[in-house]
Amino acid sequence: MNKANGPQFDDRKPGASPDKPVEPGFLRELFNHVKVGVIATVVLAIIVSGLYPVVVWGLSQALFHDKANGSLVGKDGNPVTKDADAIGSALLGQSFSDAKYFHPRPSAAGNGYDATASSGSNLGPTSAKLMLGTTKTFAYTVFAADKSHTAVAPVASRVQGAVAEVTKTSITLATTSPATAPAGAAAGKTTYALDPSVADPNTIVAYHGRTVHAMTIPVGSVVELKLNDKTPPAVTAINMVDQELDGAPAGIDMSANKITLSDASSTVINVDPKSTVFVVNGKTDAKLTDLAADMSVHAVVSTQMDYDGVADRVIHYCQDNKIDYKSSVPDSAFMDTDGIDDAKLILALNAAGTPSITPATAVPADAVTASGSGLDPHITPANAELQKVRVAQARGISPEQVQKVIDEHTDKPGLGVLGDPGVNVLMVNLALDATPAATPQSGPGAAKP
Amino acid sequence: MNTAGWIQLLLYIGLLLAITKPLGIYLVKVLDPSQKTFLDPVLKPVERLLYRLFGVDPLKEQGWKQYSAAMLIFSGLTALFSYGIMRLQGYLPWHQNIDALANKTALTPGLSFNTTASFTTNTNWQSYSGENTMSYFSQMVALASHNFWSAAVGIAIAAALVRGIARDKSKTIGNFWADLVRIHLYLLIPICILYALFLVSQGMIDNFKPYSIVTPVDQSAAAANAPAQQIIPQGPMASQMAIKMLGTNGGGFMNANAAHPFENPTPLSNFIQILSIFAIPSALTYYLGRMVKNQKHGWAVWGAMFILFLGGALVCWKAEASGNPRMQQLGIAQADGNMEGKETRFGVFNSALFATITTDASCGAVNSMHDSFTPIGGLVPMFNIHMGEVVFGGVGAGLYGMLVFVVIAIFIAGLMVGRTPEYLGKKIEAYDVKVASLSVLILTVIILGFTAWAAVTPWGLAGLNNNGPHGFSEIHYAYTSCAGNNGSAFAGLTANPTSGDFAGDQHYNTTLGVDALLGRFFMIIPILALAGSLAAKRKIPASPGSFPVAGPTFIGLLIGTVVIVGALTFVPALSLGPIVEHFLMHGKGPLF
Repeated sequence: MNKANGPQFDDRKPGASPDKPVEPGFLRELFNHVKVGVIATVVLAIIVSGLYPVVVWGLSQALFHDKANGSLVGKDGNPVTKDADAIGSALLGQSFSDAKYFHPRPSAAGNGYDATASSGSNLGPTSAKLMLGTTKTFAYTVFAADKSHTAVAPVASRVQGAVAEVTKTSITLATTSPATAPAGAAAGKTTYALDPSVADPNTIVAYHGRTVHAMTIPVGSVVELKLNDKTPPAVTAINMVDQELDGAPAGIDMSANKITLSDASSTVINVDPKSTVFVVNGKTDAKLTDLAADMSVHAVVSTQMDYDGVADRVIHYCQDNKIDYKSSVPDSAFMDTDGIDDAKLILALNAAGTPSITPATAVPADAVTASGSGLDPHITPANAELQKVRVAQARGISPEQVQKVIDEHTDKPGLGVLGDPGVNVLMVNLALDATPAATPQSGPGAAKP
Repeated sequence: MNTAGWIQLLLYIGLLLAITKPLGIYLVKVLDPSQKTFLDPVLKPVERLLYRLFGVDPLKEQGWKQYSAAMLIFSGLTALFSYGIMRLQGYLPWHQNIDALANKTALTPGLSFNTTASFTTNTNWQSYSGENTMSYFSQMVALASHNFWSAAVGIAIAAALVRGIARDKSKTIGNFWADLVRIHLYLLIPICILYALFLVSQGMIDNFKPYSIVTPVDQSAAAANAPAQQIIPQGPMASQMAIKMLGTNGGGFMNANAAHPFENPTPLSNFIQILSIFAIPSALTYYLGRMVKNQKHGWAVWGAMFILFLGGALVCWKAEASGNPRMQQLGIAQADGNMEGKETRFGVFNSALFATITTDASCGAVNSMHDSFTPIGGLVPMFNIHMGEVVFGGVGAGLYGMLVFVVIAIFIAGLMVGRTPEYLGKKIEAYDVKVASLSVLILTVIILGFTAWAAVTPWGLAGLNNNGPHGFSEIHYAYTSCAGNNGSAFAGLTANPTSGDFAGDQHYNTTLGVDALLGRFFMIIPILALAGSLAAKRKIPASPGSFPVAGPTFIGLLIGTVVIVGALTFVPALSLGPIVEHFLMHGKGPLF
């Protein structure tokens, strides 16, 4: 405690402390400083990097065991000590996309809520990517030929056509593209088995930027099937085909795995050297490096969402939560048989330049912007309010029941004034999973304790 | 700009005021080896033991050259220590259990140099991502140690300068080793132990567990036989984060820094963190007043800092609360402000306040992504660093930076009235003004020089995450932040490229590291020279003709000097970045 009369001042006279500073030889002085410096570094390192953290660690583990170990929670929302029992951390957000769950904020951490890659988008206020999103054009198969080879040889392991029917075990194409048909295949309906021996991830597709199951591919969309070499062949992967591009390559960037076509819009095609098939002069096991600038190129490609952007999220949010909106980009420009085609939407938004969207209820900012960490566990109460009805309907419970759960898991401002209130998405979803689906019309009062 | 924000702002200011005097009085005791503190019964034996191990006599003082030499040698040795650990990371223990992470091998020479330079200089710019690149051992030994050391060095330098001003015809300005030991034992470590425990009580992690692998709830988007997993990083965080804030270091344990829910779990932890940034710098102004026996002067310096802080905070808050018209055009509620890169629990106000405080001080921790701020909201942090981080500033660095401006302000005032300038009885002469100017000019030269270079080179442009004026701001902010030893960033900038055409390019790592070293030591050495020069001067008793160093005239003059001498040179560069971007954002033209 400080003495009432305060400290004494250091008013050392020049002679009071060891009179004149000693002036030994320069090297000797330097050596002395280095000696003290080495000892100081080692001794202080032991204190601040050894003793101090160990003391803090010991006290933290003793006093706040759960919190010091990451606030891990189990299925029932209660703290757990073993990682194997944990479904997440009460402090970290995680991805939710099912309609029966509250959805968290968009996340820029890895591919979304990747806690080993915490990050914001770091996109600025005038970023077209942030506002309108970006697309990427991926090639599945690249046919290339120089002038002496005019014919493009088919690839036996790949077929292309419009989907006529998909079942759990097979996919039927309405027509097969003659250029890529297996030898002997005639035009008409052809059914291919989905390879049961192949792991499921290989038969799911990146469909316009979203990962979906084969079963959800809409009839009529053009796909490219990758077949194994068994007899009869079975499908090991399905790739979306949006278009087929022709042109001479204006540039081939080997290090970035990009081909730029010399067409009107200088289309950039991204190739994955591991999965893209290159057929060069009839050679089916060719590589990107076999391509030359004077060849003609025919590429089977799909344009997919690369970054969704705020406008795309606003449209999704409005449709998910049944909020009416007016938009300068008409729905017809991007709606598919199975909902929003993100790639088309983003292309349309970018084509519009400065599009405008006017929802009946303004969308809460947190619902369509990425947080600083990419792991934000909260959404705002306003955001939860707009999602409430969807969640209640998907679960067959009343919005009032959902509201009760929201209220229980809303973190109020600290000490009543600090910070903003937030609904903890993981905790509210866990609590909803624990809430039994009531029969319609029965409110909370109907349940006997 | 809502009521809740105003209440929090008032609460913050009130608490800052309340701790300034007691902590300032405590600093007076800590920074004088002959004085007693209430921790003496426990720590005095430890202190004596350390002096014996070091082989130094704490009461044997040093002249400014010896003091500088000791400081430089200590900084150099500790830098080598950390550089060695990063280069040997592969052989050292406590790697995480996830194969995809990079912490099992050594850091590259460029990244090690950058990180070492940055942590030694209290900058804590991070070209790496903590949870990915660093092992627990590197975090705890190579990085957390510098949080203590660079903070202690800063406070020691400030104490040396204050002694120089306070003393009469003295050849010495203190003993560096005694200052170093006492700052550690009596100030930083005791506060940090309590502070770290408070942070854990709010939810911050502190353990040596492997990363936890958990299976999240919603598996609807995952394939049937490959359930989605979430890897939850762990580690000895709280011990490092306490000193990160108290020592105005700002280097995060995780990539997202204090935006990460583990690094800043609650609004209360956030509030205490921003309070702890300003705690020591604010108390040092009281220390100044006590030492020079002119408490009004101490409060005048505090007042000038406070006004500059408040101005920045209000502008930043207003800009962020007003939001982005481009987003509002897409249907987002205007009342919510600009939430891109901000956490829900902090909201716009606490994000803007944190950004202002972390750049007023040389902290550089962030609880929101400055890169995604509105143009004017992002200008405030940059401008704060341009002023030299003298608005409370880094621990020690803020006070000594501000005292340089005081010397220049008094010199200018002297010129205006045609009288020999005199500061607290010490004549300000040509030598003093020269060394003071040197420490102000170095920032201008390195910030603008490096920015201009990077902005016209392929490696400079390859690192950008944004196009247009915002891209230029990313470069400008990076060199501003490192030169000012801040460490915050427009974090879209990739300074350590690992893929693409410039994979492995070390231009950014190297130039930013050099930038930080120049910004620190080419400022400190002139300041110690100034301390030595002032210490040696005879004190003239105050007379009616003495320039008043308290009161509104002085505060106004000081603020004017900071803004005009310190920051005006950067306005042309700012107009190419945030200022033009502001008008573009409000316009109807295309985006970038």
